[in-house]
Amino acid sequence: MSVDDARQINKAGIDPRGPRMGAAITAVLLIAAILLGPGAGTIVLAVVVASFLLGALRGAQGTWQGLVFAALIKPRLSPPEELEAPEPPQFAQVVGLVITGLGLGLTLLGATWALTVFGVLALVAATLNALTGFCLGCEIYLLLRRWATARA
Amino acid sequence: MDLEWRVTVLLAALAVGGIGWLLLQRGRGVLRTATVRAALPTAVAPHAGERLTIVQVSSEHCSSCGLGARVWRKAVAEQPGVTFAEIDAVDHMDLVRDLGILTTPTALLYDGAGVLRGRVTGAPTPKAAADAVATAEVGVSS
Repeated sequence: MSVDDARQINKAGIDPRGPRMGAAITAVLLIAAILLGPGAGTIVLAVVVASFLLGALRGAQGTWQGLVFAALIKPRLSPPEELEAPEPPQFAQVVGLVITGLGLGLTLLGATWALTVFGVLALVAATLNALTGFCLGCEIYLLLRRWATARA
Repeated sequence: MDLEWRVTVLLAALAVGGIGWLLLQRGRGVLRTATVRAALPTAVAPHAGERLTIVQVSSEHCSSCGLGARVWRKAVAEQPGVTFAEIDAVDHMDLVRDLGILTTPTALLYDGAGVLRGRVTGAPTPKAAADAVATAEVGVSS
């Protein structure tokens, strides 16, 4: 690897496999939350919400899943073919925070169905992200933007 | 609520999500002939190619946009008269609305006269990008 490449890694992007592995961990936690149900499941969902909050503030590479990837997985992999910008995964973290945050809030207010309903919404997005690299920002950012400017 | 109900909802949601994703992928990455009449955006005019101009509509929150741009740049590199330009959707919301662009990246292919010939939604494979350039050009000469 040349010096130029090294500089680019620090400046231009993150390993795209990091957010995908993070999404896989999130998906497993969400399945656990849904199956455990209100009570123990609510606590697991709270952990997921806290992780998304970290990701929304610091980017997917700044979550504990991102740190696990950087510390344990990445050293065992070959260098990535391409890097990606940190903004798209961070946007996905914000969307995840909104969905799971709503689910947690409603569950704590007594609407126990919300744990399952919002849990599976987040689970579908996390699973697609982990398995296919599905990019939520690509699909919905422009729609949100169009909707916002149409109303303005 | 009992466990059975939660498991049913979980599996149903994953099935619907999977099918929805497959539907979303249909027609991605291949050239579709233009159905609306549109001229080359003025912002891109200085970069127009003599034969073909490819304009990728990107956005900040789009991880496949960088990949798409790299593939297109490579596809046009050896093609004289064919150019590539990338624009931010946010700066061109009128264009996005007029052409009914729903997702990024979307590449728009304009002929030498600046008329929209077709579009490719999603990041194409290198082969699909080369095919799209060739097909759009055939459309130009016929």
